[in-house]
Amino acid sequence: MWTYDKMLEYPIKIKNPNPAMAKLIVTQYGGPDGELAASLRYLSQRFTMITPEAIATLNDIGTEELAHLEIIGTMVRQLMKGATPEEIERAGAGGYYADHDKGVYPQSAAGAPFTAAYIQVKGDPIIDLTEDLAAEQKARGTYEWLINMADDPDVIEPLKYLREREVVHYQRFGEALRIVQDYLQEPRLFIMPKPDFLRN
Amino acid sequence: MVNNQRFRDNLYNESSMPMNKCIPQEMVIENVRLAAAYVPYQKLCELFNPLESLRKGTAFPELYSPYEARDKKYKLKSSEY
Repeated sequence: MWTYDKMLEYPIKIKNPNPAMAKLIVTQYGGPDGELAASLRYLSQRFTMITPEAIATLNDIGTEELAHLEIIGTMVRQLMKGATPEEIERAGAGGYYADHDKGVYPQSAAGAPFTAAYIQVKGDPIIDLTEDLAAEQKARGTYEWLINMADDPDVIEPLKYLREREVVHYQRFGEALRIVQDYLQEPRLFIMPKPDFLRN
Repeated sequence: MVNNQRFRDNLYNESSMPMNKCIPQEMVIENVRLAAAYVPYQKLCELFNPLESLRKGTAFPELYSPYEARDKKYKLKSSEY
């Protein structure tokens, strides 16, 4: 079960529409290393995770990724909102406009629709957490390339914020992996003394 | 609210939670095995105040690693990746 706060985790107020940037940023909505993939990955992997700490880490970070999805969706919306069809076409987002108008659709920057093939749930805690570490790095990279292409501080500041969150998540997943590794290495051999009535 | 005024003050204070100075991470990882990945445990030492944390994206000074954007016109030299 979830509770919902009717506010964004980080405020978004983009004054100037920029359809070209919207088309790029949408990749963090439904692209291969985007927030939708991240939240589905963590929230699905948590069912087979072991140790309370690692389960909670997946649950909490998966939930936060949903909040990031909301931030990215808001950014795409605000970047498209004030633009005319002509401006959208000139910005190279005509293909997006033809399919989705100014709607927010989960796709990559190159237009590939979202697919669950972006994520994996392997059922083994070490495998899954190792994937999660890689996923955080890939998301950090995507945010950095987006920051390189952005000019507007209204866009750059939230992107920097989201990028820093990926760094923090990496640390948390690394600690979860340590806890799981330590747990799996603990000796679990329980010896019961033979009861008296079975002795000859 | 427990103490609304104090909470509001803390939002703006330079450091709302000045804890004892310490090294914010595990320094030696024991029982390291081959073919495994290790990230040192973080230890809680200091925190940014809530407003700073929101702006930066983390409450932990030791995890804050801002990214400097590459200049759009900058071409990488062949020696760089």
